[in-house]
Amino acid sequence: MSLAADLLHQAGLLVRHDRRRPRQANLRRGVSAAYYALFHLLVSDAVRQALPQEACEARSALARAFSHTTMAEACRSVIEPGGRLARLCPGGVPAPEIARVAKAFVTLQQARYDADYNVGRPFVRSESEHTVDVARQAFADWRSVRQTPCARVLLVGLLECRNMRV
Amino acid sequence: MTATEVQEVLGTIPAPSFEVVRWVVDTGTDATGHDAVWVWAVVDGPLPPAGEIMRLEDTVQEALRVRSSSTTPWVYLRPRLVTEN
Repeated sequence: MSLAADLLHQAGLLVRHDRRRPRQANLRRGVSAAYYALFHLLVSDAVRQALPQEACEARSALARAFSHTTMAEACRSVIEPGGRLARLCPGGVPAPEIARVAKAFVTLQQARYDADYNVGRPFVRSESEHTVDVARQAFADWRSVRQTPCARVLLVGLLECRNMRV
Repeated sequence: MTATEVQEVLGTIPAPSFEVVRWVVDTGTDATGHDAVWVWAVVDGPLPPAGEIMRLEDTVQEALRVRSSSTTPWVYLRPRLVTEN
């Protein structure tokens, strides 16, 4: 399995690991893994798109150029009506699956932030399971649209949306 | 937008397909610096399917957009079971 798929699997295991009283550490690491699953899924596809033939070393170098903040910004600009990346999709509107993936990315990134840094906000199992379900849905949506023009726009935007002029 | 204003908006949206016993609202700035609203839907019963919760999140987001006079805060809607409170 890919790193992204492994992380998604791990996320599901962690949030269900404790039968009765789930430990905060397991719920929080599960939520964090769900975010990184989608993060690595999108980064690996973006790198594959940009460097289809290059050596592993070049791909690894490019993968490390992605910034969490820029990726979230790109996702917002796909979702928001008239957003920079939305306007670059055919017809000016992203497919519903693309919009759901973009929204899931923003949702999961915030959940990861809360899980890793906001210890004053306890997590419960249901919201942690929901977070993993959001990631699973995003994986399914992405599989159905990853070869479309709008998906390719999003993948470029994840790296460079701040410098794209529309 | 204050938590009280958000609670008012939540009182106007169509009931979702699952029973929400109450809403818990927190406002602030998210990890990327945007205005944000965290809404916990306290649910009586099993965890609803993710798709239904995400549709409810979209409904809340749109209701806040209509109500907002300026920038609409980003909505993070999360479920929580009655038994977990």
